[in-house]
Amino acid sequence: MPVRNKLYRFALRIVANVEEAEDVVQEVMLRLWRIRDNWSAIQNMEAWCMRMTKNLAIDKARYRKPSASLENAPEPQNTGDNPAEDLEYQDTLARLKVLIGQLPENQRLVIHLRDIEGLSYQEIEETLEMPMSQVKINLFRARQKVREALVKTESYGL
Amino acid sequence: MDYRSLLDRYFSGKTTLEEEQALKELFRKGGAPGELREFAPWFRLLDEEAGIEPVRSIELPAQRRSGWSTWRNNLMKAAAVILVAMGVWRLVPSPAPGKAVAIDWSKYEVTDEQEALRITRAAFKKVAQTLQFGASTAAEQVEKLGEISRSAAVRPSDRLE
Repeated sequence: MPVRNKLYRFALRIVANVEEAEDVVQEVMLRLWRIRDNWSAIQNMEAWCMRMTKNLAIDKARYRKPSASLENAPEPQNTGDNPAEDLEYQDTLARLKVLIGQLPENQRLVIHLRDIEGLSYQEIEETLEMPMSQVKINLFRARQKVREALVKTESYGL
Repeated sequence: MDYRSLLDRYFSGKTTLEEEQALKELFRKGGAPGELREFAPWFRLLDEEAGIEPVRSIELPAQRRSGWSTWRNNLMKAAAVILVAMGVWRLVPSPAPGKAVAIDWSKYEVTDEQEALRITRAAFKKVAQTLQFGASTAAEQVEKLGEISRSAAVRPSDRLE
């Protein structure tokens, strides 16, 4: 079930916790199974699952805010021939992860669906139940923040 | 291709999915021009994140059903099929073994109304007796299965993973 991984990543983006994300996907699967007699009435099964994942994950996340911060970012690892450059590279990756985690919710979800899952604007609109104009604005703002962070890192090593 | 301009459009949210895929491919293969290296970590991160999978197995409930409940259901179904087959077998007279029987049905043709009524009544009676036998046998079997269920010492958990 390839969509399972997509649901998991989406849930993980929202709850920022592996076990909770798995619980969310499990719950989505259960709910999907319970309405199996009505599957034919669902026009877009994947979008339905994504919406359900979003709703359940947001409910879960309300009880515990994501704890994305530099302190919780994975330790940079030295993997290549140039340790200093690798370390810097890994550090940038870690900072970007934190940046995504700290984006406003709508921006975070839109950039995830577009850049990681490769969904079209229409699919994002359907999944997030958000007008397409808002989808585009959120994507624009999120990517601008990413760009600023990348440029800052390159220019000032921040 | 002018990748600088493509990146500008990407960060302005004006690229198509195909163009975004082309950018990902460019950075994935390490073929990006030196002046664009500042953007490499972002596209590498996207690749990494897209490869994340759950640690725990997550499936539809039907795919995970196993153990005692499935075994019991299958047993009940098998018992029902056997009982029905037994009933049908008793209704159908078996021909003599090894003989190809050619039946002349014309000599059995009933022309008298009273005779036809009598034969039909007898047939219904025979069917009723057979069904009665089948029902009582089925009830016995179901009761035995119930006893087996109750006597099972430990029932495997139906908990979903």
